[in-house]
Amino acid sequence: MEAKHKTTILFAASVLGLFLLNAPILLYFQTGSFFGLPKIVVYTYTAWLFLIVFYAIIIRSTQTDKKLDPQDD
Amino acid sequence: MTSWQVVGLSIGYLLVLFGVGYYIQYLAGKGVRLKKNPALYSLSLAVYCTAWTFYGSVGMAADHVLQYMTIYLGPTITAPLWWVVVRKMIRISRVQRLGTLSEFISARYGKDQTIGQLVAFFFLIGIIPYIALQIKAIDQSMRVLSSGSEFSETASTGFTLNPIILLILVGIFIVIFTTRKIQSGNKNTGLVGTMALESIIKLVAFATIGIAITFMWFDGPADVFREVTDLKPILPNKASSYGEWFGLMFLSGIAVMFLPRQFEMAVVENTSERQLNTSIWLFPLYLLLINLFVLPIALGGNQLFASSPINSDLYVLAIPLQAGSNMLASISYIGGFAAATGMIIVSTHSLSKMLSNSVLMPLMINRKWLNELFQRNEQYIPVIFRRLSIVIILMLSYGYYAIVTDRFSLIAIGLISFVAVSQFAPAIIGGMFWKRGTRQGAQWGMIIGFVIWFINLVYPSFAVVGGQEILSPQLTSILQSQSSVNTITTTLFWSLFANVGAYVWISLLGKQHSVERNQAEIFVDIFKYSTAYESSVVWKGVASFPDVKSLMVRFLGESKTDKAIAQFATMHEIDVEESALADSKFMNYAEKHLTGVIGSSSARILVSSVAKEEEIGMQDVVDILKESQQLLKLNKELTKKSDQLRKATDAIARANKALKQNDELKDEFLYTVTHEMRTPLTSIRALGEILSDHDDIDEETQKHYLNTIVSETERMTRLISQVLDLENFESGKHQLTLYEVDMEELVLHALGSMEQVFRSKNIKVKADIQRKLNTVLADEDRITQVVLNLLSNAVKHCNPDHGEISITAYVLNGYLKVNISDNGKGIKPELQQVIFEKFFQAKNQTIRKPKGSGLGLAISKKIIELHEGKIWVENGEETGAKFCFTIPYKQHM
Repeated sequence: MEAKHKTTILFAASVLGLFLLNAPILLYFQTGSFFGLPKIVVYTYTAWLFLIVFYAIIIRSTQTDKKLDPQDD
Repeated sequence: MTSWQVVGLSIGYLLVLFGVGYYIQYLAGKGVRLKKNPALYSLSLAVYCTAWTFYGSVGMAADHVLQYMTIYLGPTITAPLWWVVVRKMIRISRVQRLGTLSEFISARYGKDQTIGQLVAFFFLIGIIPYIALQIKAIDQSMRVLSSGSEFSETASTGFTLNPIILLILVGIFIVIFTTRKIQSGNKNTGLVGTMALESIIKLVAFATIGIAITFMWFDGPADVFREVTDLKPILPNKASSYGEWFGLMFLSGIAVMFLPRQFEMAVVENTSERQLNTSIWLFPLYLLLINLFVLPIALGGNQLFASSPINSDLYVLAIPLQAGSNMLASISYIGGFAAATGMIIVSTHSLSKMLSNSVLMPLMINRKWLNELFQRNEQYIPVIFRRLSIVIILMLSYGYYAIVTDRFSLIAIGLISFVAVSQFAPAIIGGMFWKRGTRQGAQWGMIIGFVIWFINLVYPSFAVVGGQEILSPQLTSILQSQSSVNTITTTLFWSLFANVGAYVWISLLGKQHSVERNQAEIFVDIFKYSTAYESSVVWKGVASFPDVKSLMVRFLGESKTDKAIAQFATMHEIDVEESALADSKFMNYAEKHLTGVIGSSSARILVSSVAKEEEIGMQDVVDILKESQQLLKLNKELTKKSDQLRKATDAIARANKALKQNDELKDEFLYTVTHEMRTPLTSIRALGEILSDHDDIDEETQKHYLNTIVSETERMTRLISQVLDLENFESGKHQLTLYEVDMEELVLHALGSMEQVFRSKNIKVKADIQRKLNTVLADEDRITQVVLNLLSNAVKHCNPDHGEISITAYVLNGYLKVNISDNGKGIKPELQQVIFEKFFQAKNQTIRKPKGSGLGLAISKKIIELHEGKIWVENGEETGAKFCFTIPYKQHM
């Protein structure tokens, strides 16, 4: 995959993270509980974990066997 | 625990750290490739989580509930951007051998000495409070642990280890593991491995305490969170809290890339850009895991100490102590101690390089007294300066801790440092992505940003020093009241706003110096220039090769210089030793190597001192860069053309091989045809001569000879017509005449025409044709030819005494399949493919040759292939051979 394409996808992933974990979005879950835990806490950790899995999938699908830097040790 | 036990625990831990560091260095020396491990690299990045994470996050969560998370969500959100920002920093630092952020910024803005010193100075101001914070955390935790369940941070029973003793031990560790090989480019596997181990220790310790609190003192997470809504709202529903939330995430997202310790681990110690791929998800995962138990500990602590409040920063220690578990308290202490020492080690190492390479070295490098002092052992100067810098930094940190830090919480000091670090972001990011950014712009941007930061966040901390009020009480109270999260995010906004504004505005108005323009080009387009760096740096002047070499020997030593020169000679295929003058490539190469040891600005000064440099005009820079870019472009095009040429040559070679094979086949074919025709011709000629020369032959013999001549002529005719048939099929001249054919009728007709042969040879024939087999689209005559050919083959090869032939036809998976089998000897597996070749019989004289031209199967194969079908042979279930062919079953509509 071209470096430019990978950069665009990773940038989009970062913007998604900013959207999911922004204060106004979190406030939707301000009240209520889920299995005895505050919904906001459950949502935050779930979104956080989702982002990590999403990053891992992107990285895996955009990984190339080509040596990135010819001077790599 | 007694004071002595706490002291023993601390010193014991440090000794273990020494041991692990040594062991990892030993393994690296033995060739164990630890440094390439992406997990080790990602774990070493977790040096981001300091004592502030261990103690401060809990303190912040206890007061502001969820807000502490922003410090970890910020890096999680910006982690994908490392691919763009950090990868570029890695490539630039590797190509130019830059070891610190001050060198990085100085190199970008024309290798300027002043900006390097300014950056180093600002970093010292910004990071020393942060190191002091770690000392404070160590001191507090030691006192709390030794005071037992009294949780006293100030008094303790018995002896207390002064943090300065621990700092000395940490200092020794830094000296041993970071100043033995100081050349940039040498990877410090021992340091990376130790930091990775400390990351694991602090994670395990924190998780252990979290699990114990959640499940031993409470009935699971739901019980801990039971009263949370009664404590305070998680996020106040106010616009200002949105700003704080975003501001803190933004702040930590920037800090994780530009903190000196992160630069050290992520950029300097990186061995392959591929490691970033793993760290982009593994580092955020680490942050998530270490944060899982912050809220349970904080909320649990709030509930447990509701009646007698204590400093919430210390809940991690206080909860196990109150429950009387010395074991858990010790685990907690070691986790916090690991977090604090990790930060002190890497930050001090990084700052000492800045102080040494960007401040001390340029000031002292050409001082006569210094050269005389070291005489001919100047390669030790960088090491001495580095060690001196370590001592200075640790002393300043201790001083700050002793005088100032008592008045601030851990989180406040950490955030203040983060805001300081963020002031370098415009100069670094602008420098890597904007060619017009100038030194003046970067310098003034940073100065203005730092002034705003200092007035808002640092000045209040000096308002009361040593019990004496420096400012008026009114002003002190105003300044101190602002030291909240809101003040921090507001200061961040205004300082960065002014910083970016000044940087852009002054850069647009100002002009770049030629070296600065050159560096800007290389920094922004590093991925283009990284393979041809030496040719891309503009340098004009005259320098003698021996002078440059002796300069390298002064700071690198004899053997390293020889090795570096030999490498250069191999790389450029030249004999440098024979040249009296050093060319621009070698000058850049030498400067790059010196930069790795003494920093970019000092290397610049030294190289200038041995060379007679000419003033470079902006046009020269533009021309050389243009030329360099054209060369790179040309090189790329040449590589592309070379690839295309190689592919074309391969194709021609393949075609040539195929032509040769065809030529050989043609020769073989001609030979076989003529050979096959010669036999009947010889026979015809011989019999004709006998008939012509001997009139006395009786009539019966004459008739017999004439019959043989006729039969041989027929054989020749058959052969010629088969050769012509095959040639027509192969050249594509023969087109199939497709129409609907009733297969059942076709097979029965073929069997009928062979009936006489079967009867004469006493062969039993069994036909099994699928009922209601509809018509198929085929060339009837040609398919009949195939069936007849296969039937005559079966007749030739079946058992001569009890011959049996069976023919079946049915539809299978959209194809009509016809099988013709005999009860002969069968065909050996190795011959099953080749019997379909032309003249197979003629070429294999060892095989018993039945009557035939040897073209029948080749023609049958061609006919079936023209019908888009397949033909093959396999051995029968019991004995004999089984010839099968399929053609698409195109049912009549």
